[in-house]
Amino acid sequence: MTEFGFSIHEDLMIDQDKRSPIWEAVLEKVPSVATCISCGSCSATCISSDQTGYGFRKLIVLLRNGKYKQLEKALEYCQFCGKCSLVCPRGINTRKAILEMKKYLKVHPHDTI
Amino acid sequence: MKITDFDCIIVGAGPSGLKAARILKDCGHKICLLEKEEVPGGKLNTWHELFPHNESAPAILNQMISDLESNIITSIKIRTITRVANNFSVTDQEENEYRAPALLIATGFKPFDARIKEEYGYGIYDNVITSVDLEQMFRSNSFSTITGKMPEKVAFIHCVGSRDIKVGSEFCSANCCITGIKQAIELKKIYPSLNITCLYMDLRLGGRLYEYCYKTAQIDYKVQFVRGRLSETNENPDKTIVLRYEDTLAGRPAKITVDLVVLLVGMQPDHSILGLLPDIDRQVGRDGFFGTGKIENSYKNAEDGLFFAGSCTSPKSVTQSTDEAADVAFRINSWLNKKLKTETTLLNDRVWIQHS
Amino acid sequence: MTKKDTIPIVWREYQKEIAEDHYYYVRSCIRQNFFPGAEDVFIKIISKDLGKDIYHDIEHTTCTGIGYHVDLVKMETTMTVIARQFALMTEAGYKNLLVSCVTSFGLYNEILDIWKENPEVEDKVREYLYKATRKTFNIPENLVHSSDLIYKYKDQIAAKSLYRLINRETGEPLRVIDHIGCHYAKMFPEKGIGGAEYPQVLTGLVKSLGGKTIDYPERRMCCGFGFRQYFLKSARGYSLSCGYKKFKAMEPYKPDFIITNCPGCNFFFDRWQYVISDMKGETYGQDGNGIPALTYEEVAALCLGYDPWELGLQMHQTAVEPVLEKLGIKYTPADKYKGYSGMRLDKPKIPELLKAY
Repeated sequence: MTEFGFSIHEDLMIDQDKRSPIWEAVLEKVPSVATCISCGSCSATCISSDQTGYGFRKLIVLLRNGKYKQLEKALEYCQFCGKCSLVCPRGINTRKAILEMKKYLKVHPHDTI
Repeated sequence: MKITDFDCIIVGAGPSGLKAARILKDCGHKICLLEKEEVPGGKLNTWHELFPHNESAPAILNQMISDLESNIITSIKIRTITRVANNFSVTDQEENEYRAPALLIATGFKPFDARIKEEYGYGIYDNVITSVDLEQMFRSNSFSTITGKMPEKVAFIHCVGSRDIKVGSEFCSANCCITGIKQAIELKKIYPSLNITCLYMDLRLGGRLYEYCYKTAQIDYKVQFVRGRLSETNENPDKTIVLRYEDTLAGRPAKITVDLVVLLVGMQPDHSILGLLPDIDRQVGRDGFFGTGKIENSYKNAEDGLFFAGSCTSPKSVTQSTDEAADVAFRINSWLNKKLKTETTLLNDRVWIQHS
Repeated sequence: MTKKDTIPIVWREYQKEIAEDHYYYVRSCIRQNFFPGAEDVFIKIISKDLGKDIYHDIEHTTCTGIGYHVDLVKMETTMTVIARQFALMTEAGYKNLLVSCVTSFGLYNEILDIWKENPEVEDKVREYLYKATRKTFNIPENLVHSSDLIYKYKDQIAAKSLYRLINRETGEPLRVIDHIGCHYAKMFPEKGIGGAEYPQVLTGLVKSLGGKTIDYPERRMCCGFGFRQYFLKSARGYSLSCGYKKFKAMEPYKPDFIITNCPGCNFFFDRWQYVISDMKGETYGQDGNGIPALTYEEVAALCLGYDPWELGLQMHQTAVEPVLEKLGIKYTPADKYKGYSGMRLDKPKIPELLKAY
């Protein structure tokens, strides 16, 4: 192969036609996660988010859009204090959601891209 | 060439026209209800079920018409409106003349013509329809794509023709978001395996029980809501539609392929009554609807007998239109009573002077 | 609608004004070097076949569009050079400017817009030009791109053409992908026929010659040329990724050829297919021949009956022989690498995957 000095970049566009089943799997166990409106109250009160930038809102966004490698790293930071579930206006069970995500990614590591 | 005298002429037999007619009739006035289509009801004839409780639109319409118990004059094309002495004089296409001291304009709205928004492909691609078309499909109980195949993925696009400077209307139509949610729930009830995505800029759900509908749609019916406005539609060789939008919360552009796209069109002012009487034309506000929207106007009675009610003054739902129609009907009633009393008083004065 | 006078334009039907005759032609840098026959044949079509007056000057220079877009040339220099072009046009006695390159077209429009908004800049440029060359200029009355002129006379060209864009064997119209340069209409939509969303300038030509254009999802995407990305090797990957995306999107539609009006886009579609075949091992088009990329002048000339090798089609890297076969044009394969004077030119090295003749 000729050495051109440049290469074709990977596309940054999210292709919703190719999605991993993790979103549906988590939704089945924790149906209230579907009601997240990304208001951000959880990230504002999260004790890890000012150190790492990842709050619960970010986790849902990463989950919905298939950025699972980042999600795996972000899930490590949760300290299970429960402040986010106190403040969520939609009543999402955040602790169960995070535990289900961790469980799924452990059982299906090949899904992470 | 027939001339008839009334107390109030109502132009438009939609929800607001029917409600105002009923109240004025109960107050004892002689009303004339003119409708340009062949059947009364206005846009209620195009809806299947009304939000938020999914009540049947034909049933509500029949209730309103039977409550009225009076003649509605249909298939009228108004040719002229003039002022003659203290009355309005309205002539139709067969030269019949209707005269009354008060005139109520309840002509309603028209849905946005989605062909103007060329990048969304309405009228260009087969599988792009509007919410009005979808409602017709519900009424006739035949739901499928143009190619006849059952769709598996459907997308609803919010804010088509509203809040958009490029099509010339910047106001929010206030009722399209809940229409989209209602239609999504209806679709899921008929076909539970459908995959529905709604692309929105902001969700405006201000009415009673609207937020409850939203939450139900998210949890029970698993409708996906994505914050990101649709930028363009394109067609694949197999007639499925590719949508390009940005998932603003993820911060990256995204694309999705769907079988059917439903555009939630906004409510536009209907200007078909303009050009007949300069007093009516003067009342057009800066966004195209009648009136100024000031609160003090609700407490002032019209000077000259011209009233407006319903969705011709701003985008409204059916309940909001009938509420405003009732309020305007009572104001017409008090205005008519004052006018008749003034005329009788003047008559009495003249008689007194004559006797002295 | 809010106000009656701001009715939105239906872009699909938008037309612009194009003058009838008497043009001053300014050439393109890239097109003359990479596709040399294209501009010559354009002049021949306009002057001989259509009988119009077109003046091509040897005095005019580049518009410095490339230099301007990669930040090598200052804005004032660019404006003075363009003022000189206008001065040459005025001295030759012409009022209509015909531009060959889409980047130039975009640059001229941009500068005229700057001068309209800031008249003091225009006065300064007049002063610079006078000090440097003692010339004065008038603003052209009508500034169009050469593809607009071909669009205007497409029916006359179609009436005189010997070949139609129809596949000889199957009788079907040829499937054509049209690609418009970004600087043609995306900068000033009212300066392009059909605006930026539904450009009609090449679709109209293809339709009147009997072909069929394809609407595919990435139709309005840029080809990736972009000047600044392309010039530096470290950033060239962005350009290539854009082009790659377009090829992948057009492949399912099985196009017969691509027609472009911008020299940069044509250059890219023609040359990138070899690079992609080497990097990724993918080829497009039938049987690994690649999808030929032709300019609008070449398409019009082929249909009018000009010889392919005189047009300079041997300079295209992606093979054009499949299209010539489909159109039924007679050509001698042996004459392909014979130069003007009859001397034998060097043959290129045949790549591994992409077929070449």
